[in-house]
Amino acid sequence: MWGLLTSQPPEIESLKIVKFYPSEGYKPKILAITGGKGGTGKTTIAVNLAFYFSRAGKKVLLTDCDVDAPSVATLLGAKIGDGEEVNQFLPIFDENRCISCGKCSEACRMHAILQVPGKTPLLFPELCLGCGACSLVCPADAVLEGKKVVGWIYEAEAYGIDLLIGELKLNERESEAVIKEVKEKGMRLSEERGYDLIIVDTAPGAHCDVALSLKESDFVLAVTEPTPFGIHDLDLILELASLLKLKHGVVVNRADLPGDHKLLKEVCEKHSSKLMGKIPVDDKVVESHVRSRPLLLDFPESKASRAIIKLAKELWRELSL
Amino acid sequence: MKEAVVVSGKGGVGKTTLSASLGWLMAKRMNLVMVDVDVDAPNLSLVIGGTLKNSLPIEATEKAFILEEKCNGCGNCAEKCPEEAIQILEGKAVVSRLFCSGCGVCSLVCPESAIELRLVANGRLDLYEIPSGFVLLVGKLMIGESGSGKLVSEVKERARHLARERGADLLLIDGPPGAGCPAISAVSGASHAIMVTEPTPAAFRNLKRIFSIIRHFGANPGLIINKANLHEPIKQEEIRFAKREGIEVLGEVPLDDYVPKSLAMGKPVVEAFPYASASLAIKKIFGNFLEYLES
Repeated sequence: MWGLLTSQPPEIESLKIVKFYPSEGYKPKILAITGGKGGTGKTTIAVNLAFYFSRAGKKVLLTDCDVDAPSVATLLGAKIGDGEEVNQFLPIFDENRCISCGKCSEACRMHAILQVPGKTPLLFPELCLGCGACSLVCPADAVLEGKKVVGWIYEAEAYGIDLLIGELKLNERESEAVIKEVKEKGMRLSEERGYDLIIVDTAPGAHCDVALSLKESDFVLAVTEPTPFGIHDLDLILELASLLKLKHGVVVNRADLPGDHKLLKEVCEKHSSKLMGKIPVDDKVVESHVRSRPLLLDFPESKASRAIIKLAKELWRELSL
Repeated sequence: MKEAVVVSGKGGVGKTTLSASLGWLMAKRMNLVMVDVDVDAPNLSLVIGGTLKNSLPIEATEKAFILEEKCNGCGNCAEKCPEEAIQILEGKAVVSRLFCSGCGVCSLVCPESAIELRLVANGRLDLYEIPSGFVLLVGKLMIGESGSGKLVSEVKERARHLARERGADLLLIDGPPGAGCPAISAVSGASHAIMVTEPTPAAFRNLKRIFSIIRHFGANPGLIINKANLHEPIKQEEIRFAKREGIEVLGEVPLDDYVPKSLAMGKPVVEAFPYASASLAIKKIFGNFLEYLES
């Protein structure tokens, strides 16, 4: 699955392992990177910001919450070991205890349980949300706790940045369970290691997975482009960030693409979102993707790098790092 | 009736741009219904235009509602909610609509029967008449809503119905990015699944993911490589992958400044700049696409 990744780049500086004792009220800053439209450059910006902050001496955890198309490790050429399974509750019906009353089937609002009269219920695992309603209502204690693997979490490290990557199992739909686990594990690691900053890379769109990924962040950075698609979807994602009562700002990637900068500005104003920078089209970005290395490392003087560094400084102030 | 879905794994590789152009060419040849099921970020209507004829809410999800007069604020629901979507505020349970999955556990554990599950609209279906002679349906998820997979299925079901009613030859579906719930729902039931990719490591990796979904459902797979001159070796690797897996390579589209220009004009590139290098490539792909549809 990760076969495409090129070999691990040389390790340049490794984090000093010092036991971290969280002080009273310790809380890492959380920066979420999202955008609405797909392919606007969320992950590119996330990995390069992480690289910048890490080089600037901050302890950074970068989490990939785009669990159905994770790309953080690919962009950093990070070696991924064996993942940790993300499991979800799946009922097992005990034939010996089941009285075929059908209450579980009635309680399941996902229609994942079919009660055949006189038999043990039949489960459609792909429809099961893992909510446990069936086990709550069973009068015969016949619902045993089983589990299904819905995805994996991988821990990795690249260029002094700790990575936490969620991956949804193919043909599974329970992305929320994987995202939740990535977030929880991120907070656990943070308690141990004392991150200054957690960067969360989200999926495109403005649906519940994105809402879950954004939740609890100190600042939401929406990466967009000036095209009609970019602006349309920016409007949606900023509305979501506002609904969640989160602070947000916008960066315009590929800013020199033909588009409508006036309309883009209007959308930002409508949501009181701060325009935090513009990043120009730059061939070096694709070059860095192909090399699977940070743009800022290989092409620090490129147009896009300079713009990202400017953005990073702006975010530094915003998050009071 | 054939049903072809356009998907990609990675977002932003050009699904909608290519769907718009293929649809525009297709409408001249056959009776077409198009549907945009990228319900989170539906963009097809921005480039195809047309007049909005109808818009109706779609109820594809349930949410918990607290009957305040009955709620005693005991907190059982908040404790058992698997989504942590319930809080007790000023002695009453409050459901966060954004995070409620409609599982109903809260209503089962409520001692006062103070929680009801109600079907709510989580999306909308818009119908556009397109001047070049076809119909476009657009599914839209309300901001932050759950149930996008169910909404995709519902929108597709209605699109199929409309396409059959109109005696359409083809239902062309512009799908969502990713390989999760909405993408699975988009691919399910399609006779043909066209993957759009670009020659970059992230796009290639996610192409493989969506291909696994397509194979699972048994749709006939096709591939278009967009922005093909981004990187020659990865492009070659993608073509080898397609050949190995029995994926029909429908063609490639070069990087072309006229593509973003046409998008800024709100038109498919084949309409706005018919002789641009991207348009010529898409027309060639269109020829292959017609043959591929017969397979």
